[in-house]
Amino acid sequence: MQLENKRIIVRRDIMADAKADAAVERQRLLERGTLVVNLVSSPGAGKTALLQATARHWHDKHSMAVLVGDLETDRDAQRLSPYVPVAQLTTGGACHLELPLVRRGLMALGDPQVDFLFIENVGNLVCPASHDLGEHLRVVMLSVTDGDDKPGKYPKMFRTSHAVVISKIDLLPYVPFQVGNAVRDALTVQPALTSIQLSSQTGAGIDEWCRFLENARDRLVLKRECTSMV
Amino acid sequence: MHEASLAKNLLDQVRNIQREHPLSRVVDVEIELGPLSGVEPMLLSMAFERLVAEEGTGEIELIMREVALQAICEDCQRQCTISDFNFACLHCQSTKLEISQGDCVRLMSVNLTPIELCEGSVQCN
Repeated sequence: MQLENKRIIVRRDIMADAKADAAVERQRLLERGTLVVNLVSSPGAGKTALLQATARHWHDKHSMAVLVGDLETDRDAQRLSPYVPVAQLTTGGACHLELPLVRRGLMALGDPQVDFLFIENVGNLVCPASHDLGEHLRVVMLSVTDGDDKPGKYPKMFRTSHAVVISKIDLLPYVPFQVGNAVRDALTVQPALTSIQLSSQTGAGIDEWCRFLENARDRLVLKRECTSMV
Repeated sequence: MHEASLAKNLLDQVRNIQREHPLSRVVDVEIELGPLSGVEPMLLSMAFERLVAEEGTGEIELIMREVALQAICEDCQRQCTISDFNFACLHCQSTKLEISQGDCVRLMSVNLTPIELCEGSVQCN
């Protein structure tokens, strides 16, 4: 008997299983009152400095923990450890974080019950866009020294983010960066983006940033349900 | 280069499907990708080929179909193609768009061929 080939129709996102795992983690952390923020940017945009400023601003008002991803070294974790519980996730060359690594970091911290869990992703505006880490908010940072043309060049990252933070605004007088151009470009890709301008050095905008996070947490924790944009 | 990670996810899904059909071998795999899939097709293809070769159980052809970025408008319910990543409905200018195609790598189909049984033994290439 001649046996014939069989084409199985699937039509399924290849990341569907990973996204389902992330959704479970997102709901678990929400139910215990933790808002998870995935902070992404190019290297050197000021993610660690912003988290230091955030911890200083809140002081005892809110509890927070940080998982910080880097290819090598624990330098960022060392910078943050005087302020908050922090676990370094060293990827050993990989260009982005994935959920299993995040879970391992959480366990290393003893799965803490905190108001805010920040995941400082590997500095990269490309690969982290495709990986759902179970976050409730994805925040993309753009420093004024990066250039105002980045949103259109990295559309997936901006499309899948909830907020864009324009950092290092104290340097605006010295660089050709046009805030209006950057925000307009970002809103073309994702009209629902919230935009915040700040400087971790001077503290300008840190109050607005923290209020944005507090409001997001209040909304989500009250609603008790969340979805991903990834 | 996260294409290696995506290729692993793809191959895992393919093997899961193959396991549901015992005594079969994968001939080809058809995927769909678009402007917001976040992958470079050639790099994904190379990563997939390398993973399959490492398994050493025979080649699998990867058929890639590139599609346009499309969305359904939540306001007028019509479908539109997104050009230049300008996320506004072409019909009513609304920005409330749900992407329907082109924002992920989608496994469309898996082509399986039966492994021929011969003289009580299974030919297992």
